[in-house]
Amino acid sequence: MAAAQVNRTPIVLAAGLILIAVYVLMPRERRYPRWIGGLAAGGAFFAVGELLIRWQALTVESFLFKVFALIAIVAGGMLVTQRNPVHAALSFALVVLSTCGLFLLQAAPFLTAATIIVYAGAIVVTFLFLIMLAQQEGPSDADYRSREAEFTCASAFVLLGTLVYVVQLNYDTHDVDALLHQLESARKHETAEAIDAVLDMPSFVEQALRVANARSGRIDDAFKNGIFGLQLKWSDLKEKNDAAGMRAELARVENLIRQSLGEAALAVKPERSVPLSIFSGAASNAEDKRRDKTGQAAMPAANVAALGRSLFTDYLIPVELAGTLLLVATIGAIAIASRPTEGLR
Amino acid sequence: MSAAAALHNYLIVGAILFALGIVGFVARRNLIIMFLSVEMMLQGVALNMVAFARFYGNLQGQVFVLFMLTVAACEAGIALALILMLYRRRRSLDVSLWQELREPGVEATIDEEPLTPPPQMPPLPKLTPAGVEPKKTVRS
Repeated sequence: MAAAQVNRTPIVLAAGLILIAVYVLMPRERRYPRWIGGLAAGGAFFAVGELLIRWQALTVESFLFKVFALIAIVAGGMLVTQRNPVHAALSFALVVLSTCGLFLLQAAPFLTAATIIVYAGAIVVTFLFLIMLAQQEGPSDADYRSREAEFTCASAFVLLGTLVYVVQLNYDTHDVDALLHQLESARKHETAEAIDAVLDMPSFVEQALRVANARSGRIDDAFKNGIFGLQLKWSDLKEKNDAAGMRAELARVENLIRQSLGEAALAVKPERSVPLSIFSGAASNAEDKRRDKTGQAAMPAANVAALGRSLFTDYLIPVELAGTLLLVATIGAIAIASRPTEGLR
Repeated sequence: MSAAAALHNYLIVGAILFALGIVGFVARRNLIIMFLSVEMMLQGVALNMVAFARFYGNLQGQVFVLFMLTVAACEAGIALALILMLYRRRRSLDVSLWQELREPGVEATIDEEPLTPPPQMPPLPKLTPAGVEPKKTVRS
């Protein structure tokens, strides 16, 4: 394989900005004004980010997903292990904020706002009020102890292991994503030699067949013909230096892999799960969903309007019942908490 | 679709939040931390629902999360009222004080080292009443 052509300028720029920022921000007797250091550090972050995106080591979506997921899990761990209930309430607010960030990545902006307002806004503040009323002297001795920690953690480990195993068994798409990523990165190049250099055809075909066998998706003759057809045509296109033809072939194979091995061929398919009507979106097992550029199903851009349409047509009765439930809960909470008790006051 | 943000990664994060919530609910003694762990379990399930809504391209998952939000708000209100009542009876947020409510046939968990008693507030001083005492009206 030929050596990749690496553009040196962004690397030099990023490294230079990082070192300039560090030099400016070093402690010394007569400091540089802070804004110079801030500017250099900001420039360094941008340069490194641009490098990562250029090398496709990192997309914005995957970076944000990793950050939000990490914060959610760490804050969740802190929530269950903190001694002070106030710290636990604040960790819970952090869990809610990072989960809302993950909602935002999944095209649910209304739920992001609603969850932040209800959970991190109302529920956490109510809890803090309760702690203020009930535990004014700080964490008590009982807060420093836990009940049967070993048994609990062992059972939660079994539960988590089972869940993760089943999820990986049914919904794991690492190998197919790797294939698609190879095709996509090969298609970006301009000349036929570059495309051929990036994509090693025999190993790609072997990898595709191996993934197909492992998945036992729709490995019918159409799939095999498609893959072998690509292999046969490849040497032809390479001789003719036909870059556009190569790209067209790669696009065709990409569609083929998406159909046979992608989401439509997952082991767990919804049977006839149709939403109540088309107001709530396309049917889950529809074959011809609208898809966006990355191949994911397209969600409505006007999320609030679509949710409103769905709630007030398909789910009207649950909405009314939820309103009744809220009323009953309000009455119940007031009735419970305002009862005078016997015993200590 | 970037590999890091695939469906199964979101499902795994939801599962982790759920398992952590279960640990917090069963193992902690403070009523408030127990309730916060329950809310964290609900967050894990909500993440699951929203990930599937995105995956299938319809809004059912999001509508269900909206209803879950409503129910969680009701549950928070009533749980806090109940916690307040429990605190008024025993003056503590420890759930181990309520072991007489356990199932018959299950032994009570007793602390090996007994808990230190909560610090007693010093008795309030008795002050002489200020001002002139009003005349007592005699009613026969």
